[in-house]
Amino acid sequence: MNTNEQQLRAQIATLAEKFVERTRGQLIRMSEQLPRVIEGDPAARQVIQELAHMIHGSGALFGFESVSERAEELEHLAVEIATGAGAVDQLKARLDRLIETFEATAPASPITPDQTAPLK
Amino acid sequence: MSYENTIDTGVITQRVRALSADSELKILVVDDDELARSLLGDRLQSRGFEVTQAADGQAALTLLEEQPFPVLLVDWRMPVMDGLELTRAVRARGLKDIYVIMLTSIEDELGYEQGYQAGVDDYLIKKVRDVELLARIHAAFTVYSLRQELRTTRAELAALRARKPSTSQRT
Repeated sequence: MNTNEQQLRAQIATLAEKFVERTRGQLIRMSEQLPRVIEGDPAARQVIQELAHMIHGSGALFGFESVSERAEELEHLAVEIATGAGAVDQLKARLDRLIETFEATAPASPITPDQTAPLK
Repeated sequence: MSYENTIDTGVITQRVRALSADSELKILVVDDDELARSLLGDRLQSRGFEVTQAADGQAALTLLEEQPFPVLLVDWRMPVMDGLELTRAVRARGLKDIYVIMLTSIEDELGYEQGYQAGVDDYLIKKVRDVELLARIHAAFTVYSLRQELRTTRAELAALRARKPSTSQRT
């Protein structure tokens, strides 16, 4: 492997670490928004949709394909909820699946249960 | 994560430079996700392309007013101005030679049709491997170069026709 390739791999590894840390924070934010979505807050639903979209896209770019797919499922549900075609009570299950997939794939500390808000 | 990198550094840029001595290997990457921009930028810069980044469509238009970019790599969904709106704005400014590649996670055929109508030239799914990314970038620069040559040739031909006397004046 030449120097240029080594440098590229190092750069990508650094970016991937940032992606993991950012995604962890985004998953916590989505968990915090969940009760507000249950209460019918459209802004909270939009936050979840946008964060899921970002994880969907950048997850695919960084090679976290299963995380990207779970994020896509969450994003689609958030869009369907906005149009009245989706069930809000399925949102927690999809978010939990995304978190589980992320923790199974990503290194370092997991998201602890008290960081996820339960459905009322 | 696994990342495959099997492309010889420089071979694609050598082929692009062979298209035209004046070829500028400049790519404008437009994405509101900073990490996504940086990843694509690093992958292309390591192969010799000059990459500039913009966080949204409006910022991209400002950069396009300042300098030419043969190739745009644009995320579909962005705040302020999304990829489709940016493409329409680019074409409305007469920048018809620029090759626009839309990055998407969407597999919506209706969306693709809207893109083509707006002036998008090509699509790439975000989980694109280097092999395909560089092949499409090479094709993009090839098309841009051909568009420029065609425009120049047409202008020269029009100028020749304007100078040529009409047959009625010769008799």
